[in-house]
Amino acid sequence: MISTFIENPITTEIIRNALSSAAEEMNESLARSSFSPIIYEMKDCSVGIYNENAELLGQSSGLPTFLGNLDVCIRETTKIIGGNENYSPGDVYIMNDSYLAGTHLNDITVIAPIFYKDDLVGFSATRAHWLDLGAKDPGYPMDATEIYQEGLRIPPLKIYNNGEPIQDIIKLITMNSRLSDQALGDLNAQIAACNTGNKRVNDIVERHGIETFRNSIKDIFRQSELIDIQQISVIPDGVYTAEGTLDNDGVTEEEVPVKVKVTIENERLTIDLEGSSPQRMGMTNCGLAQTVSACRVAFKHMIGPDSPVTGGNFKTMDIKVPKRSIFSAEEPAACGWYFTALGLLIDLIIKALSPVLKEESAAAHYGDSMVVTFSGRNEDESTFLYVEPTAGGWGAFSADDGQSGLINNSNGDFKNLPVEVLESKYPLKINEYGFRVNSGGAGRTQGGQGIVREYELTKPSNLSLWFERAKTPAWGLFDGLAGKAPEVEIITKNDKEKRLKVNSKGLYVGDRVIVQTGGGGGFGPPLERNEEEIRNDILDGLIDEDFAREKYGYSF
Amino acid sequence: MKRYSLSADIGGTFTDIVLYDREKEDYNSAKVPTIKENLSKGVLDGIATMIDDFSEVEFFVHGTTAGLNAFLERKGADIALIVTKGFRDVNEIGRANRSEIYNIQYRQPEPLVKRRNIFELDERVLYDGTVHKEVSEDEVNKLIDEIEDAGYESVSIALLHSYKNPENELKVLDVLKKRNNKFSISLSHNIVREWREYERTSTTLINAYIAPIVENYLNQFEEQLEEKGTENDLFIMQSNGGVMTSEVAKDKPIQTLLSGPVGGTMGGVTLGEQTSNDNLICVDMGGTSFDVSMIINGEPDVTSEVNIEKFPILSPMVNMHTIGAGGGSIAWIEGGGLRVGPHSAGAVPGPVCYGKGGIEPTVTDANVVLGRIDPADFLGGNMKLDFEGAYKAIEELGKQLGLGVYETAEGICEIANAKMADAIRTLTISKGIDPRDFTLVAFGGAGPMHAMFIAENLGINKIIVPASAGTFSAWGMLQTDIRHDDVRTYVSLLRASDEATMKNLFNQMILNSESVLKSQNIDPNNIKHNKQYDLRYVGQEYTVTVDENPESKNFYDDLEKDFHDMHLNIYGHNNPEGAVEIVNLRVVSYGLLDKNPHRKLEENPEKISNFEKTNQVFWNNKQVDTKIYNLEKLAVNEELEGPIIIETETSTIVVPHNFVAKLDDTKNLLIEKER
Repeated sequence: MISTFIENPITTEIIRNALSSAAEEMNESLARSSFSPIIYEMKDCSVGIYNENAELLGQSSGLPTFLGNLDVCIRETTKIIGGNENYSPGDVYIMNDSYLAGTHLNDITVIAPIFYKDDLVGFSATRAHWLDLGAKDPGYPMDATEIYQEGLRIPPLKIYNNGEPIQDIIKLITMNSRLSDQALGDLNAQIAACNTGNKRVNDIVERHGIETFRNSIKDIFRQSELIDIQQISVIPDGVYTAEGTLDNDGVTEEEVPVKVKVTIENERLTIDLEGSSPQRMGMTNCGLAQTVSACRVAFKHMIGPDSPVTGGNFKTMDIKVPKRSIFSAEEPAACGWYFTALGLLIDLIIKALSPVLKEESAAAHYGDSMVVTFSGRNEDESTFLYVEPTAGGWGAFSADDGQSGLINNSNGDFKNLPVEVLESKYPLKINEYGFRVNSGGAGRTQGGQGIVREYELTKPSNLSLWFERAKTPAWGLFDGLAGKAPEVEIITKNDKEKRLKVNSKGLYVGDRVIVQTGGGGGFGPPLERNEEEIRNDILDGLIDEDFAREKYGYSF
Repeated sequence: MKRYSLSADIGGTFTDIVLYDREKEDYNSAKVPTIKENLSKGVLDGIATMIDDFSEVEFFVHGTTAGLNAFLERKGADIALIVTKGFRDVNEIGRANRSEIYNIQYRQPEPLVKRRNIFELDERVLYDGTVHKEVSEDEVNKLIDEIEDAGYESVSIALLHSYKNPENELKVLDVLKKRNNKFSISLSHNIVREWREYERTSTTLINAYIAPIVENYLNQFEEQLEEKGTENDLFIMQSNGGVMTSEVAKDKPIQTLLSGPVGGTMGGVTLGEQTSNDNLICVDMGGTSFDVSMIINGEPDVTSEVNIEKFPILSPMVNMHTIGAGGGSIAWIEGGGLRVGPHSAGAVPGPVCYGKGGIEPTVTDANVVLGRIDPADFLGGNMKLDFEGAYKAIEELGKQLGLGVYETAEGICEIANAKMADAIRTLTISKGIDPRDFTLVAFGGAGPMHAMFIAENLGINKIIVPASAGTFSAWGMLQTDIRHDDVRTYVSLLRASDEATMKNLFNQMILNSESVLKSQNIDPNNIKHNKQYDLRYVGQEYTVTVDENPESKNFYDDLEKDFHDMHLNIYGHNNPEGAVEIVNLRVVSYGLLDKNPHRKLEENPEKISNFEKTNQVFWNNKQVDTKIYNLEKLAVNEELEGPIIIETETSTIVVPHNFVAKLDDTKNLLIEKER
């Protein structure tokens, strides 16, 4: 094993840590100088440092699905401009096209070549969510059927030439935003972050010399590859499958099937999505690049979540995606809610592999999206817009119950707004915020409980909802039972209705919306659950006696 | 004034004691083993080795870990929590965030209160302070019956919007008091008058959770001190960088959480004054910890919100960043590559050289192998180290990498130093600071062993190792004032804010602070208040705390300008056109205490530093005869060139090639990189 390495392992490790830390600094620099709360608070952004072959050296991201997905953008740009020799120091490129970058048009990717003296040694790249960029509705729409309604599409475009801004292009882009000052501010923050990456890589190369730098990178990649191989090789060979479905695409009523086939053969792992839905009219489509990223996230969730990812990882992993499917969207598919399908995909890959990675797996969580939006006018006629991703139950796993009331996978470290702040800023009163009793799936370990949240309007507002997983509620594993599906009830003066997807419904003062999010799946046979745990849950009021009797056969 | 000032800082392994003797006008320090089963005995025994007459103690500051340990080890009180109906799970849901984004088996920390111990009360205050539903005395009585039957030690009450209008919380208190029962009571608006229900509840609960333990501990401690003849009040180091009497600490034990490490930062402030350095990065590295704090423009970097073990605490505390694991970081192999940390051998089993069952090589073991730690003379000879064990463990690791034992040992140190430097750089960048403009202050047992290497990595040219580096936190505790903080949430556009309302809120806080300070025997002439505003641009979540300039003539203009400037400094941008919002008003009050003069050492040009011995030490993979000095025997202002090692009773200072060390006349070691 040792013979495959070129450089001194100490230097290699110092360079490896320095590159990770350089990416952290880029991210700090981006968050620090951005103008939008969605970047500096929700951390809806990611950064990466790449070598001249667009292989990842170090990365940092706020959301899990942004795992190492910027290389595609660098490669495509290089292809378009005709090769690495056509980059100059001080060049900057911008792009956001969903079919290239994989996510929605609000995610803007900025890349810049890194030169050490006259040599191209790599790239710094950043991606950040802009609040608004040319969509038909503020932010992004809920009911688009074509990408052209979702915003401005940008192919890889040069916005800095040799350190000089190309003002007319920058203006064309930013003036397409309803918040053009913020857009320009965020763009500058992304460029500043690229400069930080550039500077730190130059420091590292200066310190160790270019040859050592390049040799160490080869060793770092080799280490990553060896870690992957070690981890995949111990998984028994075989074909593992799972399938599920999205309720619908938000525009038409039909279900959206998702199918996963994972094949393990020695050190190779193949994920094949054949059988998943063709691309749809609604916004649940996703570009290929982001699908690849999601598959890697699933892999990382189960295998080696602690070691940082580099360009050496995933070399023994193949991903096959049917053309023009929801996971490989092409023009003119709408991609605004791309992460709804990805959340399901990640859960299904975990399910497929669970028979052979029992200890590392977890039953399904309550699912992605689950968003409540209220909008309307303040007294001074300005618009208010309140968007809330709601928390729910996570899947149980071998060692413990699933967590109750936790935000979904694709929202990462997102924090909900305190009730005291929410009520002070928006015309809403919260009447209840607590666990949804009996909603977690029964099992040897029990799924986490969903939540109940009741909103009462104190001014007329429009309600939009995007909820999912009524048809595939969070499943259990190893004979564990499924969690409850979500339910949203809208109570007006004369009416009561249950809906999961709503686009801009007008509501009046005193109307109430009661959201009940799904619970997580259980793990292992319910009859094996420890009696003391059942008693404790009853004492704590997380399950009631009927649930204990029915699901656990518990007798009083 | 009596003869002695004393401070004591209890650590996991050792208790540090610093004594100031007015007769000798000098400091003296000691490191004694911590007695886990009886902390106060350990401290008092240690003091008894330094002084005979306890009645001569004028001022005694204690850094206590009683509260922090009870919290970390989950050995606090049984608490019942009363909340607003419909909001029983606020404390368990928290902010619903998942801080480990690749972990599908993520669990929030176990809450301090079980769900069954949380009681809902049918009451409601609205966001504007209107009482929407009053508290029913009958309902409270029924709840208390239940709570009494279950035998709780302590009751916390955290109702929605009580920061805005505490009427309903106070009503519950009234009913509770009428019942004349004996449990201790915490009201959320009393502990912290700030919005955000989860954070306020969490702060209140932690306070209630540790209160009985801290109280017991302090009572016991005071009793023993009294028995030995001490008459004066016992003072406790607070997390905010000030001190308070133990009476105040029993009431607000949450302020004792970072009682120990904060002493080092406050020592840094004084050190900065002595050496004319306004900007310092303080690095406290012990056997198993590595804490970094900053002093910016002469002031400690204090934050009004911290997270400890993922629990939020709304209480001003010195910003203490724990990074890496210090000397305990384990070296290991992954994918054929060498890694150092993040796993730590901790205090138990500890590094291989401790001989307590550790088998994985650590950074400390590497220092032993390199000869930078003398195994026969560790901590002034108080602890013998197993050189052979360390050597074998590192040799074995090196074999797997194809490296020799010394190369591996030096590599482990280099990787650890580079990692610590990287972490510090990221920290400073997030604050908009360039580390090269700062001086590094290194203390703790292992800090001065790594400081020069870390500084070199960061491009820092000046390093200070304080006189008593190994007991510096305790020394810092003797350089402080009494401090009291108060806060009121007041949300308004700055330009539309109501001066009368704000004045009223400030006066409430000042009155309250004055009574707290006077209860600690502070002369009104020595009281100083500082008014602060938490400001932000409309739409932002985070605030910037801006001090009111008492000289200011145009209140709004000046405050707004200061805010824009600070925002630019911290975040790299600002928006002078943007609307500014007030979120909180704060008062920081100080009760100024007398400080001890620092005796100057005399310069004697005749005297030169003599080294104690030479040891074989490895530098850049070469064995070099290296001079070992004793700090006590250095001549003032003589420049000593590296590589050398300077030992003190409590720490080892490693000065590598290209560094020059000089003892200044206040007994601090100033070290500079040769240019």
